[in-house]
Amino acid sequence: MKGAEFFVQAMEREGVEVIFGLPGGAIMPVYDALLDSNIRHVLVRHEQAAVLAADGYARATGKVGVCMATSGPGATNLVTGIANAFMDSVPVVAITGQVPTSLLGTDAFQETDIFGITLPIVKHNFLVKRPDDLPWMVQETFRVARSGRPGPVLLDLPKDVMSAEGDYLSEPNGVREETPPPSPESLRSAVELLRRSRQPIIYAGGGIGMGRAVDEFRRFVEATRIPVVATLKGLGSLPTDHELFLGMIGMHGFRAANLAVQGCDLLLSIGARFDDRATGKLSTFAPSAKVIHLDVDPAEVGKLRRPDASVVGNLQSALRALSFPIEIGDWQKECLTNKVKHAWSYDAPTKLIYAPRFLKQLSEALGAGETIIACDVGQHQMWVAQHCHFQRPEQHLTSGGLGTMGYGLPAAMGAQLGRPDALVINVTGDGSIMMNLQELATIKRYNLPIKIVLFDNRALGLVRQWQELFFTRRYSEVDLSDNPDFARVAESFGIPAFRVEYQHEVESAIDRLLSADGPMLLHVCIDQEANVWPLVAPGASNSEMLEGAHK
Amino acid sequence: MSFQLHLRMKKAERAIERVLGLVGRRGYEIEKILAQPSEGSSGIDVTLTIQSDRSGEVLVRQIAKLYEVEQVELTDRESDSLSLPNQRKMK
Ligand SMILES: Cc1ncc(C[n+]2csc(CCOP(=O)(O)OP(=O)(O)O)c2C)c(N)n1
Ligand SMILES: [Mg+2]
Repeated sequence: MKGAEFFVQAMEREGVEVIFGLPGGAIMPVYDALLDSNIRHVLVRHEQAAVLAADGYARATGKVGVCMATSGPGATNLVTGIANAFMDSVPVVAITGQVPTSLLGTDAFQETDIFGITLPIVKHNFLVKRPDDLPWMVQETFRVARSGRPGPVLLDLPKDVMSAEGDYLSEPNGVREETPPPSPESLRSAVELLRRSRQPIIYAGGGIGMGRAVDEFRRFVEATRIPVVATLKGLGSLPTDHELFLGMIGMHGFRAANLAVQGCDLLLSIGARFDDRATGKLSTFAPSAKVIHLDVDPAEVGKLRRPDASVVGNLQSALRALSFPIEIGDWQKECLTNKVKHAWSYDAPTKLIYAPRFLKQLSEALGAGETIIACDVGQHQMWVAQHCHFQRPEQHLTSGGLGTMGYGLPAAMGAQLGRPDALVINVTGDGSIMMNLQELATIKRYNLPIKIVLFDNRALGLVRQWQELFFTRRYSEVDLSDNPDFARVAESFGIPAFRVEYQHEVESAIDRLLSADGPMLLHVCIDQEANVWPLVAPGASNSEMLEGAHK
Repeated sequence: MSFQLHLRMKKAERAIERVLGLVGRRGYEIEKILAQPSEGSSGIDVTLTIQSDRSGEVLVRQIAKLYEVEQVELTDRESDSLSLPNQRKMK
């Protein structure tokens, strides 16, 4: 059997159903073997989209997402997406072709050291130099990607190893490693702190969803009745409309959520990592609180804030051990009063379309169905986080740690291929969509019924907002008023599209979009000067939230 | 502040490069490196002398996560053992 045949069969045994990729010279033996496989290959039009689609697939399904590219430029085109998966702890396997082992290190045609290039942005990577190493390296690639704190793993496959005939002994595939439970001592000190607290807050991060601990988390919240704030990636761990959910914290967080953290006496960090966009000025974050840090990754503990108790291990058992009632009635009331007092207002004085209100209407129209929103990066991404409702974390696909413009469209493709029955929406901006626009061709080719909502403010809006606020309105390279006619662009790819400009058109436009059978693009024109509020200036404390005009 | 890390590693493709990259990237400065085959096994022993204001324990936990690292110990400069955590592996 050839190396490539063995490899493809091993991936089948790993449970791989879909691979996103684009072929080229060095990876040709694998593409040849794929012809005899049940694995579905989805041809993208740029390798960055392959890895971002694999990321979206993984987040939406909880399975490992797989992408594939050839050596050289194919491999380097994966780099941004690998970094994206690394920052957000997403189980992605990236397969790259490589020049034959005899040519490694000779500057051969399309040789790049993708192993070395990706060292800082992978959970691990393997270069298969000998056929004998192929079976265990494939097995380890998948095991490492999905175990503990998940992350991307790259497997670099020299062409001669893929073409070599050999007797490959297959290793058991589909290995899933159980994360050990936290130690009883660590739980005891956490229980002690929790019992003594009068004003606790739960700071919920992406680890809850990634660690498949949503059910345990919700039982923990119901038992303790502690108010919850979430990070960008933690949205959906508690339903947005849950009475104890205060909202997202951080730079564009909800006022009542930031205030609750600033006033709490105990912060329970659950699968979160004290990212600067969430904490604001770290030394003033939850200034009077003790901290209990729950995480699967021991290296997160004490990285940015020294906890008073740390609980390292699988979140399910940790949360079960902490699920008991506590007496915090007054504090709860204070938090919930603040939540009402600072509730979002949607009556901006404009006839034009006010994006937050649009998203609220969209979210209401979606209801509690099986829906997924994949967004891009910018103001529209923050509005989605603030104003859309999520029942589960897998419903919200967003590039958190890396903030990758161009994430949304391919992530939506991955999500739709992994969850064919879900209604998948990509909320994007006029800047972001151009970064992976070519994927409209992929959406058309596979007839993926993705609904694209494009907020067009004729600007790199989030950067424009910062220039307005922090660079005395000296606008530098943020104007996009020469954008193409996006509806016609979509139509030229065979995707129906239409455009709205006024608030009174919104309801029927959303209706038309959501009832379309196939893909559709809705081009939503908004005010160029609209800003995201509130805003905590970079380096400021989360208690200093700026407000401005709503347009 | 200066401290030493003692690593026992598996031999693997550019394993030492992986460790050195991590240390630098996390904001620690390496003053001295000693790497040699482990006695009586096929692995490598690496001793790093590191200069940094940042916590040695945080770095130990980050290094312990690397695939090839089997054991890591932190000592002060004169190699008094500060902590010898038997790092639990979750890779
Ligand atoms: C690949 C990449 N390049 C640059 C940036 C910096 N950046 C962050 S938001 C943004 C503007 C995005 O514009 P658009 O997609 O139109 O969103 P808007 O803010 O206007 O809603 C830019 C350039 C980034 N996050 N990613
Ligand atoms: Mg824009």
